[in-house]
Amino acid sequence: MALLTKKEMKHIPIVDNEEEAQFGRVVIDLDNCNGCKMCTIICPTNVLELYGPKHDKKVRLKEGLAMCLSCDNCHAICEYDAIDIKQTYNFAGRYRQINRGAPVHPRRSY
Amino acid sequence: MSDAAQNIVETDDLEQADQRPARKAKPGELEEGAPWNTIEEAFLKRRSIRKFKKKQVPAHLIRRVLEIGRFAPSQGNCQPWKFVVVRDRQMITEMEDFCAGMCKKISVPLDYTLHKKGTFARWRSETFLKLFAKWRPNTMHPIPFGAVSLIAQDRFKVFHHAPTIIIPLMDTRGIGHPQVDLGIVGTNLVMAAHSLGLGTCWVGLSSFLNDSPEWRERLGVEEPYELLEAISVGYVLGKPMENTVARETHETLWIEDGKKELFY
Ligand SMILES: Cc1cc2nc3c(=O)[nH]c(=O)nc-3n(C[C@H](O)[C@H](O)[C@H](O)COP(=O)(O)O)c2cc1C
Ligand code: SF4
Ligand code: SF4
Repeated sequence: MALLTKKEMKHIPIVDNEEEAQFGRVVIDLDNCNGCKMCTIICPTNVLELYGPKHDKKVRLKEGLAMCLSCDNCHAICEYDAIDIKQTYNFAGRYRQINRGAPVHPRRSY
Repeated sequence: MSDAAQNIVETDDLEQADQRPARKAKPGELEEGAPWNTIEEAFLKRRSIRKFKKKQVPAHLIRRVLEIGRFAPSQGNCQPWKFVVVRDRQMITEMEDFCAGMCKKISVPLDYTLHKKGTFARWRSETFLKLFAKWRPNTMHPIPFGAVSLIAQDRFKVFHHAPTIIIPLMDTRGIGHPQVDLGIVGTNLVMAAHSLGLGTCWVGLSSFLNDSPEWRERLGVEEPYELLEAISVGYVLGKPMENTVARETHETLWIEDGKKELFY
């Protein structure tokens, strides 16, 4: 028994094809975000940007091919609890994620 | 009874012999939901750091980190490692330029995202990439592919301008799976550095150095050693290590009392 078919194992997905590649997605709490910019600086793949009027800037995920690796370092650095990962990366074919659940913070009770 | 059999100590004997008062709560005595202890918290709050202060880390702190590395477990106690520490800014810049140059070189034929869909150049790069990925599927996973692409466009760094680079070299003659031992010794280094308030980042993209005769010579990488990974070390910019992060749960098969259960 195998979890991926032979055909899947051979299939290499194309990263800018939305049907084959899904990158991480973050949720932003617009009430909490004060546009301090820290997450945009820390983000390893540089996929976050500020937008909006000068004194009321907020952060968002960039449009187009934004290769978020779901590391959640943006959440770790945010002092206002305004950003967190909600969807992790996943690909078609050989790199399909298997046997894992949605991202959660450290648990002490089960 | 043979001598060997007499030497066998039963677990019960050991438990009776161990009458010293416990210094810490035993795991079984800790109630569910108890706060994380300092070691657990250290693991939860360690992050990969990619923004460092310019200031160099004192040599004695790096020595201290390496000292913790020495006590990592390894298969058969074979300790299949030695270390290279690079602290000359000029040399780190040259390492950066070399690895970034390699990313540029490979992304010319392979990075199809640079070409418009439907063009010949696009088709050619996609075909190359797929062939390459069949040969080296772990290297050409979309995430490192993305990193190589960003580096080639000068939008990402290999060593993140860290002031110190620790390179654990692997002795390929190690017992069993020396790559596992290299990962463990690296974890010791990373967690020791973290406990001292230093930031670290593993750098898999450093392995280009292993394939270059010039860099092998400059870094003293000789048979039977190999350079698989490097670890950037420096003072952390900002406060990226005060919160936890969310991560996926992983399937766990739990076998007990003749039953099998799955949890995540
Ligand atoms: C063996 C190994 C190699 C890595 N190589 C790189 C690298 O070349 N560049 C990089 O920016 N991060 C690298 N990382 C860091 C990972 O991206 C990072 O650990 C992951 O995103 C999880 O984030 P965290 O370490 O902050 O928890 C590497 C990590 C490991 C364990
Ligand atoms: S770090 Fe937090 S508050 Fe600052 S810009 Fe990012 S999400 Fe907004
Ligand atoms: S999860 Fe990581 S890669 Fe994604 S936006 Fe946050 S910091 Fe950037």
